Formats: sequence, structure tokens, C-alpha cells
Amino acid sequence: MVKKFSKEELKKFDGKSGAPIYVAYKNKVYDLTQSPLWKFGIHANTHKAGIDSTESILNAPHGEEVFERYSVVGELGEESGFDLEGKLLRVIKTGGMDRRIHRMTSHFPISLLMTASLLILLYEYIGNRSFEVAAYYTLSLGVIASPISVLSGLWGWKISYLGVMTKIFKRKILISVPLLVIGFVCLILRSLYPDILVEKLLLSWIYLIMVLCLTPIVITLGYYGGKITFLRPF
Amino acid sequence: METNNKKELQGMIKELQDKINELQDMIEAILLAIPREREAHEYYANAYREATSEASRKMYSYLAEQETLHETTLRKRLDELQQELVETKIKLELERMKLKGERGG
Repeated sequence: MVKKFSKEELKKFDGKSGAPIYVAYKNKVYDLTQSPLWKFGIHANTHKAGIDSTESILNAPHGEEVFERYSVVGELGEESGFDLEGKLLRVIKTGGMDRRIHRMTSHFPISLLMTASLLILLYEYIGNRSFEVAAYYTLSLGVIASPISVLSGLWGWKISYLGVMTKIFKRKILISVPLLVIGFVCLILRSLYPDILVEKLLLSWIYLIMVLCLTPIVITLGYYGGKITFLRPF
Repeated sequence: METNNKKELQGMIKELQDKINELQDMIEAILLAIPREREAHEYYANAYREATSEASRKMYSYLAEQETLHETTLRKRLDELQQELVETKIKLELERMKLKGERGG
């Protein structure tokens, strides 16, 4: 009969006051009391005994083979089911669902909105309508990509930078507001009035200036993003 | 006499504002470095898993552990700085209230 350990019960085997050192891994409970790497129930200055190490071992500089040397003293009683929360947490912590997602998504609005500005300028200069239509499509994609980029940025800030507000994050968040507002207003205007740039009305100039404004906005956001990524905080 | 008090308080307020700015910069510098330590740890941990010789595994294991220690040190310092920032902000508010009192009186 295999002994079943509840999480609460396992906590007692933390190596303190002469207690044995037990650590759970994939539902099996191992006795690590003899391990020189688990003196006083602490491993690598970080990991404590008496807990389930299934998640934390993913970040360890060794695999599960380290447990092979030690004897199994029981099983975790409560952990036979599918641990969705633990799995999600693992994906979030180790699967790149942190600031690295924003590094990828942020390039879409930057490149698309800058291209939209360039195409509009080409239309104004050359007068070929194809440039204006291409600008509209590019703008649409850039505007759709913007909230994804902003949300991934906020998520990365929360996960990787603990959600601590500092000058650089405050600036990025504040500058994202005009990006989203101006972007969506431009998209709505152009969708409602497809000939907005053909007829030279006041609204045409407003639309033109707003689309061109998106370029310095995304450049500034990219500039601060670069400062964060390449460690240039000041 | 009253003017001297005001000047002293204003000087104190300026000093506290400068300190707050400096603390905010330090917090930002540490905060931006933390994910780099974690990513460096992941890098060495992956290299460890891929390594075939005992010597390279030993090296990667040591380097990965060093990165974890760096992250722990940074997080500890971050907590201390955040605490100091809160305390300095409270001090600043108190000095401002004193100055307001001086002006009112």
C-alpha cells in the first residue's frame, strides 16, 4: 500500500528541526534527506522542501533524472487530477507569455502605421489612387494590431516587471492612448468617407494630419520599448 | 524668522523631491534588469539540458545558479527601494503640510 501525502502533510517534511526532507515530483514523493544539495531543507538557496516541485523543476538547470537516485516514499494524494491552473501558470511563466510576446506584436503597428503614412504621402505627391487604397488597407491592419500590441505590453509589464509603475512605463501607457484613439478615428473616417482624400475638404486635412501623426507616436513608443529591451533606462 | 523657516522647509522639500526622483530611477534600473537575469537563467538551464559532458553541465549549472542569485539580490533591493520611496513620499507630504501651515499662519 503506497502512502498518500496531502499537500499539508508534505509541508511537515521540510528538513527543519531534524525533520526528513521530502519533495514531490509528478505526484511521487521522494526522500531527499541524504542529499548534500538539500541541506536544512533548502536547495540552491531558493527551493524549499516539503512542497511539490513539479513546476519549479522546469526552470532548474537539471532534469527529473536527479530524483532517480532517491527512494519514493509515497504519492501526493490530492494531485491525481489534471492541474489546469498549474499548467496555465507554467505556460505563462516559462512559455514566453511575458514581455517577449510584446517584443513580437509591437512591430506590427510600428511598421504598418508608418507604411500607411508613407503611402498617403505618395498618394498626395503622385496622385495615384492605388496608393491611397493601399494606405487604407495598411492603416486598417495597423489599427487592428495596435490594441493587441498594447494589451501584450500591459501583460508583459505585469508579468515581467511586476506591474511596478515607473517613468518609462507611465510614458508608454500615456502615449498608447492617442495611438488607439487617433488610429480608430482615422479608420472610421476613411471607412465612412472612402473619398475623404479625393475631395479636398477640411476633414481631408484633419484625416491626413492624423494619419501622419501616427508615425511619430509609434516611433516614440518603439524608442521607449528599445530602452527597456536594451537596458537604457535614462 | 518666519521667512527663514519657510526657506528651510522649501529647501527640505526640494531635497526630498530630488531623493524621490533618484529612488524612482534606481527602482526603474533594477526593475528592467530582473527579467534579463531570469532569461539568462533560462538560457543556462536550457544549455544544461542540452549538454553532454559532465564538465559543461557543471559549468551551466553554476552559471544558472548565479543568475538566480542575481535575481534574488535585485528583488530584495527592489523591495528595500520601494519601501524607502513610500517613506520619503510620506516625509514630503508632511513637510508640505508644515509649509502650508507656515503660509497660513
